[in-house]
Amino acid sequence: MTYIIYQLFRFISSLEYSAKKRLTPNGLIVLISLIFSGIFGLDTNESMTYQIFTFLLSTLTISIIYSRFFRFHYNAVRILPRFATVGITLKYRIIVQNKTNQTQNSLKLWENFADPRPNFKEFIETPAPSEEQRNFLDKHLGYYRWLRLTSRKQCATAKAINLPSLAPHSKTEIVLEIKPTHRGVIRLTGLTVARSDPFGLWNAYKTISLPQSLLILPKLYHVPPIQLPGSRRYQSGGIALASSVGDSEEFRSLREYRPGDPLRKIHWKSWAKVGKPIVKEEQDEFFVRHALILDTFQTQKYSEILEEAISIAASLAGEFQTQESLLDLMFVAQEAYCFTFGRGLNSTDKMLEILASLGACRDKDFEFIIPVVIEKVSLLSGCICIFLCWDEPRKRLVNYLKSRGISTLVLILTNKESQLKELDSRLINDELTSFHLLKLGKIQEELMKL
Amino acid sequence: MKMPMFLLGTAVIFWGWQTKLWIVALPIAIVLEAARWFSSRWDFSDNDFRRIANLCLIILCGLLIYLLIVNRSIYFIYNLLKWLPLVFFPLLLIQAYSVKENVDIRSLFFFLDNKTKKEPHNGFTANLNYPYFALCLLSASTGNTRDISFYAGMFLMSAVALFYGRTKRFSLITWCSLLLIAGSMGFIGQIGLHQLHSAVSNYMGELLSNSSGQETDFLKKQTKMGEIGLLKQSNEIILRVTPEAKQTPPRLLREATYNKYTSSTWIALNPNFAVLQPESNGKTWHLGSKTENSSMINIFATLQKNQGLLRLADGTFQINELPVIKMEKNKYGTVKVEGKVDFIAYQAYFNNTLSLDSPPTKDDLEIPKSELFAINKIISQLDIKGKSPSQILELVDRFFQKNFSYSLNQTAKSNHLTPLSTFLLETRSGHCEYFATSTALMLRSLGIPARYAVGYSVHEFSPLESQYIVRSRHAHAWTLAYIAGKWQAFDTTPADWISVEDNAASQLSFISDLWSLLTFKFSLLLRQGAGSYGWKYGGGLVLVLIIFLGWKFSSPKKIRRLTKTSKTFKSSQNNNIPDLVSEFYLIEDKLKKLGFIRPPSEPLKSWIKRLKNEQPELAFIDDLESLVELYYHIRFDRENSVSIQQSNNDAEKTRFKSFIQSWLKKY
Repeated sequence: MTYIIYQLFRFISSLEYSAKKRLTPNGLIVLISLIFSGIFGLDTNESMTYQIFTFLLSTLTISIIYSRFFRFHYNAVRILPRFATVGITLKYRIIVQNKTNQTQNSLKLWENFADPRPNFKEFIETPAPSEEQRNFLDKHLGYYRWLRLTSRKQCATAKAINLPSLAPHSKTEIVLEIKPTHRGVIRLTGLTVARSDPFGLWNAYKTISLPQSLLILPKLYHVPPIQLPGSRRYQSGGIALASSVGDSEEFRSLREYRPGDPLRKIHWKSWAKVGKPIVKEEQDEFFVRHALILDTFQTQKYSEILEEAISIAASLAGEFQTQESLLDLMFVAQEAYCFTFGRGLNSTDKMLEILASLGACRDKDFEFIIPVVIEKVSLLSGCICIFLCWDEPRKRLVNYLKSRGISTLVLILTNKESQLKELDSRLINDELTSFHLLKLGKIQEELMKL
Repeated sequence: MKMPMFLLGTAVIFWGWQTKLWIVALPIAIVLEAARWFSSRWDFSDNDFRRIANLCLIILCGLLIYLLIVNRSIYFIYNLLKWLPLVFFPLLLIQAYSVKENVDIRSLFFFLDNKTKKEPHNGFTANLNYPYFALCLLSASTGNTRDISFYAGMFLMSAVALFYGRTKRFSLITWCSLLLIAGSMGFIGQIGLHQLHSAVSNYMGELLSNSSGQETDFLKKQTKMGEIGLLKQSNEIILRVTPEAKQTPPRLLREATYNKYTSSTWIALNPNFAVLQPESNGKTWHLGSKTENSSMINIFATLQKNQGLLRLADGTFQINELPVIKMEKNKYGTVKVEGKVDFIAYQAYFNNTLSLDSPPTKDDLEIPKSELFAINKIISQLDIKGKSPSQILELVDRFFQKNFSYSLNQTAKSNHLTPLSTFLLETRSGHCEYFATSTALMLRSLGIPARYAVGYSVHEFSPLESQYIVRSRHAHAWTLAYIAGKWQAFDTTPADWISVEDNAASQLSFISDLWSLLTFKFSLLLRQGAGSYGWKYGGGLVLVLIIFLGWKFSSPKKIRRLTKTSKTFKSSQNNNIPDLVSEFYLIEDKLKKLGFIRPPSEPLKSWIKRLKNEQPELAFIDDLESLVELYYHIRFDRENSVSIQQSNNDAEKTRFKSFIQSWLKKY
């Protein structure tokens, strides 16, 4: 049954897609009136509705026939940035070249997205947010589930825009807007230019293929500067590619060359200045190094709670980038990952890019992340954990960090009021560990309280 | 797209003109168009729109139920359509007088839960003017004026609407010529469609009316004699018969009688319908004089388009509890009625010994020439000429029972014989029409006047309903023979016809029977309700409900009225505010002259703070800090101050003014 409903949704959405391309809003009213007048006009003796039917039918027929005569050849170039952020409207330029001998007026242009319809597996596995509160029909048909999945997969919405007059054989630059709604990759397949018939009911259109993609970075929250207590730690072996060059030790001073100093420690500029060899003296590196442990263990492929967790991680990581410290971003996707940022190592872009394409880990347990943490634990001064729930494995991790004397900030996301109260009473802050519960929908307020 | 001036009003008036609902349409049109000149607007919330939409839907449901009771046929849909512009008027009204120009269309759907409706909308809002315009045109078409005025009006108004929505890319000449082509095509098309419909309904009409068994023509009965193949019979229940306690109902209920047979068709010649008058209660009708020893049956039936023939037992002299408008009876005993509703229930009083039909004429003895040969051949075989009428009846009945069989399936067709002659001479198998027609013609040739009667056989008792039910396939035909000065029913169809019919019926008929019972009980309930006081009180209750909803929605606390001038400043501004502003700006002007200029983007408070930091030696700044606090309080915290205490607020204002004056004097 669910499969039939799924196929029905697929069919209806493809129908809706082509109707949206073809029909103008006025055309939609005419089409609906045509259907109703057709039904009510069945008995031509009882009413005159059949006269409306024939008139509307002939009008629509003329419109459709007229749409066959649309001769327009064009070319377009889209100038797209690499990234956009959820919730921030992206404006970009498109250069349209009219390749005909006539001036083209009253045209519309819109972007075509890649097919956003979910596959059957996704459809049955991903419920819509707070689906259990919906009525019987919505729950069983899964219409909102379908809507949400298509919007999630499309990642953005774009409106059609009216093109200015296009002079013959000339290029016109226009600005298009895309409103990113979800994190991920937007795949644009092409552009469509449409012209409605004289009655303004039915569109004739020409589509060109112009495939391009755009990465949508997660939504960012404003977070206050977070000060985790904890001292600088010796970074054994130094940090490759961190601020200093060489064998990854921190620069301390310059001194005269002593026999046996490696050649690559010679400071050539100073030699040129003072006329004798000078070498750089370095010391082992001591950094403040934080870990950001992101919990990605979710049964659903797309869930609001994971999206929020990623947004919080991105916001916190962005905040740390401005501080003189290192940040290890740890999470589990196909395997356990640890990426280090800060002090010139990788950039914010890089980190946001990673977070933008992060998905839920559905086949592994939380324990999977523990080895990565243990490996780095001796280098860490502090740790921030973003959890999607609170259970024994997570508790063990926090206790382990506490036993190693690492100050930890634990952020637990929840969307259940009851769970919120229960956890609130159970979690006890101490000098090393502090807990914060973040309720979905009120995350910004809660973050500002940190 | 904005609606051109007067277009909506014109559409509403057009609707009123076509449907003759002037009284309703004119005020609606005036109220909707007046919104253009009326400067006040109300700030209706989404909730208000939802409530009004629910009100419209309640009215729609009420109207639907009312029309279903009054007009129990599919044609109630036209009556419903006719009133729709009135039903949805409240929604248009609040849209016209609201600050918002669009309505959240999700509020129009009852089945969406509140959660869905309250979610922030994106792309779900629409202006209802054009849909309402289309609705007015659709509703106007139910006026069914049958002249060109409707098409002309509809075309002109649609042209105006299309003109405003046209694509500017094309020249006006192109647009006009295309519109004229569309108009002409539509006009020719509507003539063609109407003719096509007439032709199809003429062709199908007979076929459909016969197969359903419901609609019987009292003038002419086209029999199915001569058709090849299996006779299709419907299992639908069309009659319910309840006899008096512990009595059996009459076996046959007659619907119509005919007296002339010609090529498979029976005709009622010169039926001479006479209008009957009811008693003063309007429900009791007399078909003949009252007699002793009568029986009574209750019959529940339906009419088609409020018209139909009554199914009555032979010798029915009185009908009670039948509130129809008109009743006519012809000389053959066929009773035609015209009612207000399709569902009818009546009590028929009858006495089998009575014969109220007109005495026989020479038409009742006539035999068509084409059948003469076969009839004479059979009569000669039987050798019954010169016997007494009762003997003749017995012999004829025995002849058919012995030599003929009942069958719904006709296989053979003879090229040189009529269907009836084929039945009599060759196949000797057929359905009731063959038997009744043959008997009537045979009796006629023996000098006994005979007529052909159609109606229903009452034999199936439903334990589920505890009454007799008559299905469409129980339709039957028999002969009326005039013997001993009265007409008697004479049925020669073999008695096994009932079992043959039953065997042919679907095994799943109990499902449709159950559904039929439910709708029957519902109709009965509505009928009882409609006649009682309960219905009137129910109507009153609905009215009270509507008024309550209206009151709930129009509670003045919930809606803010805005005039056009203040529409741009939706926040609750007050006329006093410019005074306040100017008071403080005296100080700002003063400071400006002294060289302390405030950039337009800088709030007053931070400006003062900045001045204080930059030049702490200036004494007047300290005073200004408290003044700004007071100014902010009066300027921005008005909601609280106004609502709590008006007098306090006034005192504050005067204090503020005096502070400013003293500051200006001081520095």
